[in-house]
Amino acid sequence: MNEILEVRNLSKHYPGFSLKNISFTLEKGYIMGFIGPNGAGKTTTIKLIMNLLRRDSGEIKVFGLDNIKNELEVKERVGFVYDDNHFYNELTVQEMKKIIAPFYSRWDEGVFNDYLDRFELSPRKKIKDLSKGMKMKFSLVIALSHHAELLILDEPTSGLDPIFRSELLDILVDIIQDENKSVFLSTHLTTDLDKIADYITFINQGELVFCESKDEIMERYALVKGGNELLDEELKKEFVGIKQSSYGFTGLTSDIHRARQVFGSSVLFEKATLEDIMLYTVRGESHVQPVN
Amino acid sequence: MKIIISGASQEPLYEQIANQIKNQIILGELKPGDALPSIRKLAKELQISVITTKRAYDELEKDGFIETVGGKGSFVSADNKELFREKRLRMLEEKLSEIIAESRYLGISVEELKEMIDLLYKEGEI
Amino acid sequence: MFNLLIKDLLIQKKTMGYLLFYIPILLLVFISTSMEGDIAVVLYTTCTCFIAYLLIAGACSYDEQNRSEVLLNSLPIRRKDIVFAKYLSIFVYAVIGLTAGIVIALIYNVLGLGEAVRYPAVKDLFGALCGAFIIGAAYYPLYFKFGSIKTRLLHVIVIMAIFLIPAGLVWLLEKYSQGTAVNLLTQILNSPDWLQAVGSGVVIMTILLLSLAGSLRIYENKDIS
Repeated sequence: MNEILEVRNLSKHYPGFSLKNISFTLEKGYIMGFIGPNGAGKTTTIKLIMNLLRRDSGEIKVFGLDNIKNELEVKERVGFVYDDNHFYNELTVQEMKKIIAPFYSRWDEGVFNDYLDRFELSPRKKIKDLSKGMKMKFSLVIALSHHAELLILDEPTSGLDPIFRSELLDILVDIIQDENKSVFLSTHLTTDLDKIADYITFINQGELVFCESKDEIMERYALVKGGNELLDEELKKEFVGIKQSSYGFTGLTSDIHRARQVFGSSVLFEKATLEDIMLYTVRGESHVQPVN
Repeated sequence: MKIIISGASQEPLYEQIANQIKNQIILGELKPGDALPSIRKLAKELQISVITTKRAYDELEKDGFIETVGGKGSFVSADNKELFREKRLRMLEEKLSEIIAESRYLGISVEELKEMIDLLYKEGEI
Repeated sequence: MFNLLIKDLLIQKKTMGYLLFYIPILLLVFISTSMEGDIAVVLYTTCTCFIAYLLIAGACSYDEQNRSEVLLNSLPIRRKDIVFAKYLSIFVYAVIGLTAGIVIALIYNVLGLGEAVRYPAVKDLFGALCGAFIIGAAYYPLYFKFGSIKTRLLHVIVIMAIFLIPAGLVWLLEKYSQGTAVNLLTQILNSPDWLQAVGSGVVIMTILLLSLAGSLRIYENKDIS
């Protein structure tokens, strides 16, 4: 069994928002980036996986186990990092650890202390006196100190500087050197994922857009640039999203081979980044700016 | 082993990697039996996805340049002299095609070209 | 589960310092100056109940302030255990409150500050614990459903209800058949002490168990965000 995380037809309904039939799978040994604009449902999905929220329908399996029936075993083996600090501000690092550690049967004090040293976290410092970056590092240390096989991170890098983000990515890549472990990382900062992600799951407005290997995505999506005279209503439909200015248009195609056939050499093809893909997909329907 | 990849190039990353390793094997910089880094280690070092490095290694294995031994890793294939000779011959042909195209452009005839080759060959022997 | 208890104590260790010192003193002063005779019962009961309430509400408010529910429910802990730990803590807090009361009484007596305060007898312990249990039983279902801020308001109402409902029943009974109520009450009050104790014990336990069942049901199905 190679799947470390399986989500099938997951749904959750709120008055103003619904998560509809989300399905994706993550295998052992890979990093999956979970992307989407703010409010797309990323945090909701993660909270459903962690059983903080009750799902309306669907199935969630972690390590092949149902996440509700086998809740305890699943959580033993999952490390989590959330974007909001949920620790007790008045306690010190050491005291917070003393509260959390006993709940994990695989807690490793040696690993914990090594990471404290590596991140230069002082055990006697109070949680409230830690900077945002240090709080995140502390969350990460806890998540890494009980031999977790799946690491789930919800927007861990928002509000942190690029140097820090780069450090975090290095750590995540280090984790999957062990091919039995996986990382599930939700973020709206896709530049981090452009390089190191193996798979990308993209959701928008509670619905799945795609779940594919990053290589495949980068190979089939492309930006198409050309003059406005090339576009008519029919051809506009070839694109996921278009931006037009008085000087020309830029469109995102999800099928570069077809676009080459349709447009040939009259346009310029460029690689699309994950950010481009997200941007054009999200704004696609409400797209075209009027040409002046 | 030296690998330099470009994100800006039109060539897919896995092809860039496979080609560079291929060339190093053909040119003898990587010898039969040499161990290649694991796909994960390579991915980490190059800061790319492990799926990409895996694809590159799969290509190399398909073309017979490397062998993967389960649990131990990937190694440069032994006994590829025939294969490499073929590859190098093909590379030579490609280069000759370029030379011929250039000669045509400059208006040099086949005989003039052959004279040039004779001269240069003799020079090389000294 | 015990780790959760320890957690609740640990996060309140600062406030506990103040509480366990000032509350008993204040109560003792207040009670001894406003009452005559055997103040022990009142002292121990109010001290226990007051401190138990403050610690119950304190732990819950801390959890809410720090939004630590998200953390706790992401750890390998069953929601059941979170609820059980809270109810168990009622007993622990009661013991703490009672001890504080006894210590103050001890100091008061040793220093000879006034008429010696009697040390707790079984009936005092019983009363104190019952009081604490009622307070906890009223608090937790509300907390699990509405959070600590709203609970502070509703809690008082529930406690009043717990006392007013029996009074209301008596009044009803009196209305529809005069005399029975009085007879019933006289009978109860005339029955041996141990019977009264057992009876009220049963009532309190029932309230507590109902409260626990309610809390479990509420919390098992709650969405935590």
